[in-house]
Formats: sequence, structure tokens, C-alpha cells
Amino acid sequence: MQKLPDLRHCDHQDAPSGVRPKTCILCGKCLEVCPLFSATGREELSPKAKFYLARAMALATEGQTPEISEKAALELAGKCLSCGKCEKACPLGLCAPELISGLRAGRANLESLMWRVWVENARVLWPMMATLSRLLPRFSLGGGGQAGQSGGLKGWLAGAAGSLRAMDSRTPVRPWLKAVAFEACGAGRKAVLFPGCVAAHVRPRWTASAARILEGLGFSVALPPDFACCGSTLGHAGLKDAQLRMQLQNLNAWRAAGSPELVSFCATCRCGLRSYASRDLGWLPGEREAWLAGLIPFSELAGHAAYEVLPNAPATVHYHTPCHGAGGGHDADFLRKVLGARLKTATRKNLCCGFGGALKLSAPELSEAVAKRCLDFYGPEPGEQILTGCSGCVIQLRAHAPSGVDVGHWLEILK
Amino acid sequence: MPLSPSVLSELQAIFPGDSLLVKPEETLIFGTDASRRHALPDAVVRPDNTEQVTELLRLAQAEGIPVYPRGRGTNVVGGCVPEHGGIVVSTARLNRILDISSEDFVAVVQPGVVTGELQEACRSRGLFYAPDPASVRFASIGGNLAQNAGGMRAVKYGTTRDWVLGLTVVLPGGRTLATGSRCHKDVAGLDLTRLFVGSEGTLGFIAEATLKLVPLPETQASLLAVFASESDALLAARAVFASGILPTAMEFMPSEVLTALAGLGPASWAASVASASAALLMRLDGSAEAVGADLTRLRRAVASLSPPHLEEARTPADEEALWEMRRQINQAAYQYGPDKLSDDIAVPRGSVGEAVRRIRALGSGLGLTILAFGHLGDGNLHVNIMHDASDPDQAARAAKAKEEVLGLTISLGGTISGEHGVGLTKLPWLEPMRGHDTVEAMRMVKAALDPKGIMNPGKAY
Repeated sequence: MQKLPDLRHCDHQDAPSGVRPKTCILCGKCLEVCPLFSATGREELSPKAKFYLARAMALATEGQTPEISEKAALELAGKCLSCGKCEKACPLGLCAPELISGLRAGRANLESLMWRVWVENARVLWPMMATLSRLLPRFSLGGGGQAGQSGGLKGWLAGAAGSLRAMDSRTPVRPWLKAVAFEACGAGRKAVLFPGCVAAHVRPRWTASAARILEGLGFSVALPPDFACCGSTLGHAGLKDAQLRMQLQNLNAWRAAGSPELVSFCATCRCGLRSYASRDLGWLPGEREAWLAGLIPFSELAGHAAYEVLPNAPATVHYHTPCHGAGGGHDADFLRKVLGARLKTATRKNLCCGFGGALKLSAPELSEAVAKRCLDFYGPEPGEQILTGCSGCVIQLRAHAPSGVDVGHWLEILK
Repeated sequence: MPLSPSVLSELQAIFPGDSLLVKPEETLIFGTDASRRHALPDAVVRPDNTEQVTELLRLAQAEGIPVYPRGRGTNVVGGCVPEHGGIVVSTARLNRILDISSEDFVAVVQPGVVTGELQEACRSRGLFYAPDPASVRFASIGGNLAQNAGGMRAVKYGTTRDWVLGLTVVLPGGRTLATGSRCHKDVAGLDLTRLFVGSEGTLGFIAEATLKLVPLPETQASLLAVFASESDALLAARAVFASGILPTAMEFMPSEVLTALAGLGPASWAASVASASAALLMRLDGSAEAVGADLTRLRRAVASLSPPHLEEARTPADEEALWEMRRQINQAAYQYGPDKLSDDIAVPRGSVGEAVRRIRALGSGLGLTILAFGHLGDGNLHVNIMHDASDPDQAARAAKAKEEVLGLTISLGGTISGEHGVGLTKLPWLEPMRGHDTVEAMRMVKAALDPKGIMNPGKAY
């Protein structure tokens, strides 16, 4: 049997039972990589603080630290971007998103429930809200439209307006790259694209671009079956039941399509989909391997074509590395090869777009601070573009980018 | 004693918004550090300018409230634990590099700057700040100054103290001292700069530091030499110095460490050495020509002891592989037991061999594995006493081992701490080592600068 890949960095799930629980040793290595700590200087938001707080809550149930209320502690510990960078930095492999997902399970708060409604009803809500958002500035939403200033639902709506405008499918990046030749590596292979929430509902062009590349390579591309959200952000929000439902729906849809190679161009979706293989979803023999076969970085496939840069290409393009699923740097390598010196790939270990799923609802001001720090690092000038490979990053960075700076999935530059 | 409402309202006036924390769920993490000891502070403040620190120390002095400077809480001796209640001052927002001058060869920084980020900023200008404690990428320069942090390169470049030209220190009551200058030579008056560095936050709050820089070495190279016996390794170290070379780092790994490392995955030396007894890992830096010549000389020096395995690394990737192995020792050590008691003793260089042998014997006498490894070049050894704390008998033997190790260290003319500091965890050992009168003199110095004893009380001496 083929060895399953190491999914440790993608799979925020509970530790196997019977293993001596690992305790945070407070070494502080997570401080180097935590985007939330880096953007705010608030050590109480760091991964080590979350682990220490969770430990104190456990002791509190034994009556040892009675002064901390569970509600307040949960709210504070829950302020996490779920980027998973801490897990890679931690010498013990501890993962704050996994901790919080566990803490939240069975204690869903308003924000995580709102997030569920948002994701589960993406088909209706996302395009509708994206369209509505163009009208939002005309409404008074409290806090003068400032994200996070007024709190509650109104505050969230105001904060979300920018993100929604970012998803508005009427303003994508203008294409400036053309595929001119393809290798025949897809001949005789059947593939299906997993579009993910954003492409499925507000950015259909990404799926079309990806399909053109696959077809160019000779793949037979099946029509997307009835896929749901990959479920990643629901897991982070502690909504394990909803997550499991979506995972099973996706698995069954894939089976119904004849179990072709499953291809995803969103780094976070791909990461979430790969983590299915380590879960007990009722896999049949050989299915896990077939499921994982196509879930390679999309840029690896796109790298089997030759491209021509068109005259309208911007002089400088910044590449944003998504937190999830970009470990191998395949997107950056592909873009560097195709785009040459115009691509800037400078980055830091603690950069993150700040999207963070349910955090956008519970603490939009933190999400915004992280985005601002990220964009300040790139320092794009008007006319420059920021490209990335993750839907969440696109939404978030588009919402906060300075005017004159376009942000998109790298598929958007393809003619 | 909790803070009074009037003190709280004064704190609110000095520290608006989220720069003052009083809720226990928020202040919790500020009660601990990598020592894992804990005491909940009454409040946490996060200044972003020196004026706020001045106001705070004026208030704290007037009210007699303890103040605990805190970088990122990465020290392992309890230096940040607010044992006596009071106010923790986080330097996380005092994190600006104020100046890097390639004319004066100085950097001026606030205490919250991460040391690794300073090094990076210097490197891009062809300048070098050498101290490199293991926590360099996530610890702050303020913490390095407070503990006088060392690191791998100390054998050639010294410790943090050797790189500080001047400090701005806020004293209890709000007075500000400026010690030293931007001059690389400055002997006028008492050397207060060296006094504050390593004072573990007990004398005043370091608000700014002027640090020495040197030109960035052009390149570096490393050499791993694995020996058939421990005495060969120690003789080889002597041969290296005798050949006239001062490496930037010289790390010693005894057989217990090599066995543990081999347990993590295939070891590069396994093919040439059946049972590896000891190894030296060394690094050189300088101009490309000098490093090439020194490497030849280094190889010749160790060759006199016929090491069965020699591995040279001249590219960053090859070097990284060798030094990653060194970093993995902490993790590998747990193969000998799920818990460890750690110390960072130092002995005079000539006594390292004896210290290693006697610590090993002491461990086997108590039925425990003790790893003694580390910075051979400067005599600073990390001692890890491996045990299972859930077994009360083992825990008691480990505690006894720690006592005996420190006793042995003192008898060899060594020190209970080469680079971590004293904090809370090593306090009981200071007086037996230094003597009553010396420690009393330290307390008199503190009384002169901090008459009410509000700065990080109960620590260091």
C-alpha cells in the first residue's frame, strides 16, 4: 500500500487517545511565527498563552484557579487566525487551532454559528451579499463603516462590507499571461475540479481558467459534481458535525463522478481536502490513495505549459504565500519561472492575510490589523498587483489593499 | 495585595486602551515564563514610549508597587515571574530599531526588538551583532541584556555584555540614567553599563540600548569530527586552540548525546563509526580566503587524534544540516526519560573533561542518565538530568542529582550559571557559590538604586 503523506500541518484534529498529552513548555518559539502576536504585540493572544489559558481552565474545573470565568477565557482563547503556523514552529508540534477547535466543540458561540450559516448557504448568500455590498456605503451601519468599531452584528456587517466588495465578481484582475503550448501529460486521465466556496459562488472565472489548463494538458475534465465547502474553517470554528457532513457530501459527490483525479487550485481547500484521508469517513480500499492522487499543488500541473507575458503586464507583482497548503512553495516556484524578475517573493515567517474564518466575525479589528501589517510589508505601489493561491487570502487582501493595487488568485492573470 | 482604585485609575490614564490589562484571563500568561513557575500579576502594562515607563516608575515608587520588566518570557530561571504581585511591564511594543550606523558601528534599539531581527537588519547593511543565544529568533534584546545571554558564538565573540556600549535606564521614581556612549572606548567613571547588563531587571528598566557592531564576516564554514573516545575529543579541542585558531563555536557532544541523536534518524557518522564516543562541532568565520586557510589548519589539528568521521560544511545548506543536529539534542534527550532537570553550568576550560566524567559517574550512581554537553569552547555545559517525574523515587533522585551537579561545579571553581542567569530557580545556590559578603554587596548596590526594592523583587541575588 502506498504510504500516506504526512498530514500533520493540515489536519487540525484531536490527538489520538491513549497518548500522554503534551504540555506546552512555554519556550516561546510560537511568538516568532504568530501573525496575531506580531501585528498587535499582545502576548495574551499568542499560542503559548492559549495553551496556558486552556490548562488553567482545566485546573479551574478542579477548583484550583477559580478567578477565571470559562466564558471570558474561551472568548480570549478563541481569538486565533487558525493559520497553523504555530504547529510548525512548536518543538512538540502543538497546534493552537486544534486546541481551540476542541475547546469550541459543543460550545458554539454566536460568531461560529453565524459562520456556519455563511458557509453552508454560500450558494445563495455569497453572490447576493457581494452584489449588495456595492450598495452598502449608502447605508449607515454604525461606526461610520469602520470595521470592528461598533461590535455585534452591525459591526460585523460594516466590517464585512469591504470583504464582500472584494468578492464582487465584476472587478477581477485583468489577464496578462497567455498559455501558448502544453505538454500532453493529461492524456488518458480524467479529472474533476473542486472549486471551493469562492470560485463556486463569486469567482467562476478561476474554475474556467483552471479547466482550460487541464484540457490543454489533455485531461478529460468532468463537470463539477455537487461539492460542498471543503469544511476547513468550520472545523476551526468547532463545528465538527457540520464539517463532517460536508466532508461526507464531498466524498460521495466524488464517488458519484466516478472517483476521478480531484484537483483544487485553492491552497486552503487542497489542504482541507487532503486531511480527509486521515479521517474515518468510511473509505473503501484504495480510495484514499485515489483521493490524494490529484491533490497536488495546481501550479505543478500548470507548470507543464509554456506561457507568454502580454504587454499589459504590471512591472511588479507581489506573491503572497498562503498559510495553508503552500509548504512546498510550488506556486512561488512556478510563478517565478513564468514571470521572472517582475515577481517579488519576499516574505516573513509571521505574515498572514488575517482572514481567519470565524475571527472575521468575532474580532474583525484583529483580522484587519493582521492584514494591514501584511500589506505594509509588501508595500505595493499603485499599478502593482498581489497574487496568491488561496481564496481566503484573495478576499481578505482585496478588502484591505490600497487603492490602485489589484489582488487576485494567480489564475486570474491567465487569458 | 490588589491595586487600589486610585492606582488603577492612574494606570488607565498612563496606559490607554489595550495597553493596560487587569482581567485574569488576559494577565495569566504574564505570570509565567519558560521556567513554568507562575504567580498572577495585579496588572500588565504595554508602554510604547519611554515617557510612559517614567510615569509608571514614578507611580510604582510612590505607592511601593513591585514592577517586573518582561521581554517575551523565554528565560528558563523564573526571571519574569511576578512572585510578589504588582505590575508586569511588557516590552512588546517598545520594539523599534532607532538607528543602525555604519559610520559609528552602533545600533540603537528599544528593549522589545527581537535579537534575530536586529541581526537581520544589520546583515543587510554589511554589519554584524554577534551574540546568538539559542532563542535568538524569538527572544528580545531587553531579555538578553537582563540575563546577559550567551550563545554558541561566545567562544570567539563573548556574551551580550561585551556588545553593549551604553544604556538608557529608568530608575524607580522616574529618574533616567544615560550610561556609556556611542564610543567603542569609554572608561570615564564607574562602568554602570556592565552593572545593568545581567542585573535581571532588579535595578532599573532598560529603555534603550546602544550596541556595538562589527563588519559582517564574509563567510563561514563548519566541521564535525567524531572520535573513538571522549579523551580524544577533548585532546582535539586542545589541539585546535594550540594551532592558533579561535573558532566562533566549539560544541561538544558525548556518547549519550550521539546515541540519542542516532535514535532520531540515520546519523551521518554511523557508516564510519561503530560506536561513536564523542564529537566536536566547530564553526569558523571570516573572509573567504581566511576561512579556507583556517579550515585546512583545523582539519590538520583534529587529524592528530585520527577521528574516524570528519564532515565539512561550506555552504549554508550543508552547515544547516550539521547545526540542526545540534539543535535536536533537546528533543533527542527525551529518549532517556520524559522529564528533565536542566542546568547551564560553566567550569574553567581545563576542567571540562573532569566535569563531564564526574557528572556521568554521579548519574550512574543514582541510576539516572545525565547529559552534559554544549559549549566546550567556553567551558559552558548544558546538564540535562533525565528522569520520569511521575515516579516519586526518580523525581527525588533527579533532585539529588541536581544538587550534586551544582556542588561538583562549585568545587571545580565553576559557576551555577554560564548564560541563563539566576532568577528564582538558582537563587538558593548563589550564596554557597559567591559567599555571603559578595551577595550582600550586590544587595547594597540594589538598595542604592532601588531603595524600596520594587524592581523585580526576590530575584537574582
